[in-house]
Amino acid sequence: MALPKRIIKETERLMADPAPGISATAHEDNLRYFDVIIAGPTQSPFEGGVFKLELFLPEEYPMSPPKVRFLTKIYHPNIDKLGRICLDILKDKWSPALQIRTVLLSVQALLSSPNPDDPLANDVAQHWKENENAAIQTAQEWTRKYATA
Amino acid sequence: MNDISDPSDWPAEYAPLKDIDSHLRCPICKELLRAAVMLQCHHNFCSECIRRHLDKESTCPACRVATSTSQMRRNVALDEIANSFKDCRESLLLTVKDAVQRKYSKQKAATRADSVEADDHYSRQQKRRRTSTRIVRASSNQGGSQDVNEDYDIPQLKQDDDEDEDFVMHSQGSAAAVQKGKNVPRSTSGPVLRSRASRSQSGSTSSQDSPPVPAPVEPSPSTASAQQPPSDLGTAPTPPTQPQPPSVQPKHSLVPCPVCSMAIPEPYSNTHLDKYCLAGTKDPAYSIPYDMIMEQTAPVIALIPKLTYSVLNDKQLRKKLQVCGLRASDHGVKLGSRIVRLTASISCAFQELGLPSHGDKQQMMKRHAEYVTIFNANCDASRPRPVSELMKAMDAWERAYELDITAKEEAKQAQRRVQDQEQWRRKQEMAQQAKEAALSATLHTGVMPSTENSPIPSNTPPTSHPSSQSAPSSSSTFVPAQANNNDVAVAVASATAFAHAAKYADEYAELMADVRRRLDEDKAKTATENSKKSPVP
Repeated sequence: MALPKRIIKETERLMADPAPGISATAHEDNLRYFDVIIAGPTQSPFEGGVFKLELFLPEEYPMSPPKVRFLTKIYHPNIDKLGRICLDILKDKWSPALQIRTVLLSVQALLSSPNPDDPLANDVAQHWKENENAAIQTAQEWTRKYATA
Repeated sequence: MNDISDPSDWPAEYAPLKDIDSHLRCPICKELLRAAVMLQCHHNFCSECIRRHLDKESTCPACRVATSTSQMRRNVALDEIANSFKDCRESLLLTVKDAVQRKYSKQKAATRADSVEADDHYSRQQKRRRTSTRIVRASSNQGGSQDVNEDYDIPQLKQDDDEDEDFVMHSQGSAAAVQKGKNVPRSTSGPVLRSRASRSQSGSTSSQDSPPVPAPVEPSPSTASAQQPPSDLGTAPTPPTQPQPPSVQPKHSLVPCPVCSMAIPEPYSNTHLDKYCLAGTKDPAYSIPYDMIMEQTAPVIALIPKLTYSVLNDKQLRKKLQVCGLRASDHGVKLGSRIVRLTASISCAFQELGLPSHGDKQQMMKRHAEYVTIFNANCDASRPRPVSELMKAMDAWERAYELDITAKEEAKQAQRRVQDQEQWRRKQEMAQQAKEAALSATLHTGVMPSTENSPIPSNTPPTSHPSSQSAPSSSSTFVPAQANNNDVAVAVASATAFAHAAKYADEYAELMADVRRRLDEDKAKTATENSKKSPVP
């Protein structure tokens, strides 16, 4: 299948006018596959970290959501140890009016506001709920350990 | 052709144009709207895009309010605006970019002020500017933005006269057209559809404050019918004869001529009769049969209903596909009469053409769904494509589908091969480990576990799906290890459970890795123990 115009357009826009703290570059051999780098938002336990993600646009995109996964280890109640992200717009709340940029901004926002009530990594969420400060400390440690370039 | 267009193409100085551009884009495909339709929540999309979306979901992509195709309404004015914008976008963009460039070069020239040429250039600019600001102001006001930078100048207005006016005219289009439709007694050109000529005629006086011009001859019947909101296309089967909005020229003012049966405006009918029909000549101004005009506004262009594919067998579906084509040619005539003005051959060319009906049910279903989508979307367009183009699109779809199928098939096979190999390799490894573990266990406990009773099926490369086979093999291979380490046993049990749920393949893989790691540790431990023991005897 030829690459839809919309994907080309989005890629161009991401290159020409990247969202702050986010960079996404398409693989040359597969233009549906993106290497993403998200900077940890300020005032979050992930501040100072540089997180690598992968993003893949399936055949049905934009009718079905992109697949996004963290490649960098991260201590977050909504991200499991395989890097999978619990985010509604990546699942049932997807809408074709959303785009790569909005998805990545949402992921960035998720880093700023972890939601332990809708966990994916149960142990982390438990930790977060029982002792938020300690959890945040762990997250900072992990950020230092794994996410500093 | 610059086929990748984006609102960001517009220079920053012309933000209102950028806004117009982005407002006229479909949120789904990010293209300028094609056959704009509005949902109940007042969000607009391309008909085709939203139909494809509503095939899967039943919410508005913009606000998630529940909706359905039956609640879609054509947004005629918006569609016309988008179409006109499409027409003029490229040249308008050139003009605007040129203007920006000139401004910069002008500024440079002004600071230097040493070249005679630059002075010349500047004065030319000034002249042009006077003629052009008005247009820009008009167009940007249409975009709803108030802050118009007075510095805008659009040179070369003369060259692009047509385009710019299109743009301005269309933004205020409906009101102007209605006005015209009311005043115009008759037409010289007959009810031809809104033509470029008539637009640019009135367009040349396009400043907003000019009085309504009664003179420009806009064909009244067609304006009336084009203005007719055809939103009831097919969605409501037979709408009760609603009273026409007063602003639109009422239909009944057209009457069929009793002699030639062409559509004639009522007040003109006697003149027409005397002058042409009774004199035995044809009226050049009115050559469209009354029936046809009436037909256009009636909901004849029925949308193709969706099918519930699951209740149809292959044969029925095949028949439906063949009928689709026949309906298409039928529709071609009617659609054609609305806009494309019967390129005369459409109907003949596709009279006997049905959609292809080969392939399995899956393919036929997809083909039918695709055709229904593009056909119905085409019905929403104010400039519908002829059926021949739809058929071409279907051809392209057909080719893409075939390619896609073969590609997918190949990918699947390749993947299976890789998986099989991986599985086979892994199993070999595990068997080896198990053997070693068993060996060390026998050394350790002095009891020989009956490995013969649980044969390890690792000698034959697996052919079926990995998850179905790996589960039993892993449990059997780890039986000896169980004696050694309870943790391993637990891990194996959970791994087996995971293996049954194939969708958790990655957890499974992870767990297996864990198991392997533990095994290794175990092995190392026993090895050290053995080495400790062995010197004693």
